Amino acid sequence: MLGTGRLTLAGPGFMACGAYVAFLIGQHAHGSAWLCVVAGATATALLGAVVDRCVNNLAAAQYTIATLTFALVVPAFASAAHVARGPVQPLGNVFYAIACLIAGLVTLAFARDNLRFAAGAAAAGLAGALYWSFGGAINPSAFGLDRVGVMVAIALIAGAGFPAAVVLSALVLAVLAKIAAPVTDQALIVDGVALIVALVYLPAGICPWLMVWWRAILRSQKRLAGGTS
Amino acid sequence: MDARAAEALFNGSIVALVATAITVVLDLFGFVNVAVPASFVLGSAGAFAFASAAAPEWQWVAAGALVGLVGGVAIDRLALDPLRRRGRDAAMLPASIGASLVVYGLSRAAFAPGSSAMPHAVALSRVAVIGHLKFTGLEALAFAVAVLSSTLLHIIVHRTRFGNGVRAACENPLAAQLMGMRIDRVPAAAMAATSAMAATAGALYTVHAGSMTGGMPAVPLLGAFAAVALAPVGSIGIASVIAFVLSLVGALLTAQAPWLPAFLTPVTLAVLVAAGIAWRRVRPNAPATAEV
Repeated sequence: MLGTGRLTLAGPGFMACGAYVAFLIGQHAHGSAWLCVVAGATATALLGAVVDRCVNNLAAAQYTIATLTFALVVPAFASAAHVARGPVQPLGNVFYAIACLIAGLVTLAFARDNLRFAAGAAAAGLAGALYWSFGGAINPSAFGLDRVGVMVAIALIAGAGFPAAVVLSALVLAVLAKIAAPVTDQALIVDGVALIVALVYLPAGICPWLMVWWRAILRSQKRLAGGTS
Repeated sequence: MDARAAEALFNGSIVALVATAITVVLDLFGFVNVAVPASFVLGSAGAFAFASAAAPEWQWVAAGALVGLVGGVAIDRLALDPLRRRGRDAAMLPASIGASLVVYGLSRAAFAPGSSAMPHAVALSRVAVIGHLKFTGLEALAFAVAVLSSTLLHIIVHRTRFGNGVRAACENPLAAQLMGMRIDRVPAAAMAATSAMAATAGALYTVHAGSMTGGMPAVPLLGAFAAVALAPVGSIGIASVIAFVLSLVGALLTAQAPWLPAFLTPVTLAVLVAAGIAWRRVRPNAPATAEV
């Protein structure tokens, strides 16, 4: 959703929405997880278009409060309305997750500017539906403020506004969590420290820094090749 | 009035403390500090640690506030100050989110799940009756702390050189330095004060609930956002009053119409946030900040 040019914190709300829609559809579509996931993503995309229309012209602080309120109210509503638990879906597997990831990235990459917020919402809803299909049980605390933080960390560490960079971010955070495992098993600490370090020392993210580094290597190789010939 | 009114005042105090912390940071620093819920968790963890160590009851809340104060300084020094020095104000919001992640992770690492039950607060649970109002020591303490700290912070921010110094340090550090301000200390002190308020709320909530919270509950945070959205930015008094009014109206509705579904509470608070934001957009010429 950074493709809209602003940092939205509504992601977990859309993720929760996708998960709950998938759960509700799953009550009637027995065994068809694909249908549930597509329904979750579609419903979230429509909701995203409505929310985008409401928050589009807000000032920065109001935008933050509005999107964070949305992220808080969806799980709180579902929890209070006792939409809490769903059946275990055996269809979730790694290939299924990769297919959803590719679908989400393609949607985000080709979305027009005025549809980027809705496309981001659809991707978050897809993630929520996927989360439900893997875990079975939906816990509202899974869409809390820490989820907002993890989403922001993944969105910003590699570089903002470029959909494929989030894959690099996720990989970097997973590797850092593995490295830090002997010290702490709390991935949140690693994510938070990595986000702060990236904001201070790599404000544009890892991707531009890697590109500069890669070009420097290529230049030095050309120079070496020119020297030997 | 009965025990439910005192309970509503207690909940209003929690929301008022958090709303005050959010609106002061928004006024002075210009961003929504997402680390406020993390300070709430720090206060909760501090109170829980002292309660588990069998410390006297009055120390539980004080320890929570102190942990929040230290945490606020640490968050400012380690996450926000480096960005302020580099002039990257837009990165303050994600940095506060990063700091929150670290606090959540540390609290979960320090306190294993399943070990969050607090010892019963005997002295703070004593019931007193004044007229028709029946309240516990903890509820009275929460109300007094909320009113006193909000008033004190209002005076500090709006009536002293310190408040102007914080604004100057954030908007024009060089000019503030030439005026004799310690620009390295003033923002950290403001962040510490607001963090201590949120942590006090966390400590009070934890002692009242009887268990440590690993994250700030959604409804009080939504209530705080509603108060911040409805009040003018930086208006500590109005935000606090709105917090108390929301809590009392909620209690009144629950008492008069117990058949109302529970999900109406978060939905109504979200609608109030939207109404507050819409009101600011309808009246764009209204002053951005107000001194009340």
